[in-house]
Amino acid sequence: MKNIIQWLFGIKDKGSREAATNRMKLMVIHDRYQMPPAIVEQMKQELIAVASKYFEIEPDSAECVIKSQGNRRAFISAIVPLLKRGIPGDANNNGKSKKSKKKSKKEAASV
Amino acid sequence: MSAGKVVVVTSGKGGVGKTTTTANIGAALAKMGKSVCVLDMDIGLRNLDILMGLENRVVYNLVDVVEGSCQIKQALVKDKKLPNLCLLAAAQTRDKTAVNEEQIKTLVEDLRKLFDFVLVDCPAGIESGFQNSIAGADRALIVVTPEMSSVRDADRIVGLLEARRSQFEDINLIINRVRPGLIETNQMMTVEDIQEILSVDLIGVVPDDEDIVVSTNKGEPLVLTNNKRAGQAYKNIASRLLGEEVEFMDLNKSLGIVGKLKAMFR
Repeated sequence: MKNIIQWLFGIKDKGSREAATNRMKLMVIHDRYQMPPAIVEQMKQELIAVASKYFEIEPDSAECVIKSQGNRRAFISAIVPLLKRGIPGDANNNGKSKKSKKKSKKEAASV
Repeated sequence: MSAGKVVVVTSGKGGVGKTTTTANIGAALAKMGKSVCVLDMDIGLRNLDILMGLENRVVYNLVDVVEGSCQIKQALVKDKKLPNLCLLAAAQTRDKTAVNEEQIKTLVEDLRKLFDFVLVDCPAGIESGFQNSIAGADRALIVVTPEMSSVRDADRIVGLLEARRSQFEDINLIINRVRPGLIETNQMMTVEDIQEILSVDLIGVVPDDEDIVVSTNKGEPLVLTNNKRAGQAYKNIASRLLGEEVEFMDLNKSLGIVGKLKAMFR
């Protein structure tokens, strides 16, 4: 009944279209590059390992995805957020407050 | 007569409407005055003869032609209504390995001398039947329905065709069985969504249409009797193949209360 009312009055719920389209976009990219999501996850872990040799990072907020660029081209987007580092001598920044965490995303290392 | 165009109709997934599309575009082109041969490459599982209503007239098939058991002209079955439309049927008792790519290339080269258009109805799958079907084609039409499995398979086909891009003048997409009612309620991928995913130029959008069932039962392509919905959409595709610019039907627009009620009781 809810459906019928929504239908008649043109009220749109989110529907399954968005889910299908998003799943589809991911699926075809992994198909095209014959790269299962599990391998991309593995690559992400390796990138985290490399980055953490040089920086203090936030491994839990890191992400690594293959993204479509349109025209059947794609790129790897890897974002590894760094922990906020204080300016030397600035005692207020210890790199662990909530505020600093948010900011650090902007300093993310992008591949 | 100059050499005709060879157009392969393919999809990857089965049951999305390749054969219906072939029959209707073929009939539409013939009705527009072009000489057309529709070629069923689904050896072992032929169906194009049924959709054309010619199943009782098939004597020889393409395997007979390839093997030299008969002349091409003996195997061509003329349509009941349109004298410039012919069917070359697939063999029903053989399988895909009965022919190879070279043989099909030779066959379509011979056919293009006789017709303005040769439409090749490709079997489902990406194996030898598919490879044979695309062997001599200048253009490809990829049929896809707004379902995830169909889009995924179509993407594979696009990849395989793009790998031999230089062979094709054009690779185009036909989005079939679009249901405006489901798009309206956000329960179906839209034409734009699919086009964005596949990145292939669109040549047709065909609405889901119950009349297709009726026309198949009668053995008469819908374009010959019907100017509405799917019938019109197939005609538009034929016009676009001839280089005409035809506006796409808008299937996303609101159905209105009457349309919605109708769609509900379908």
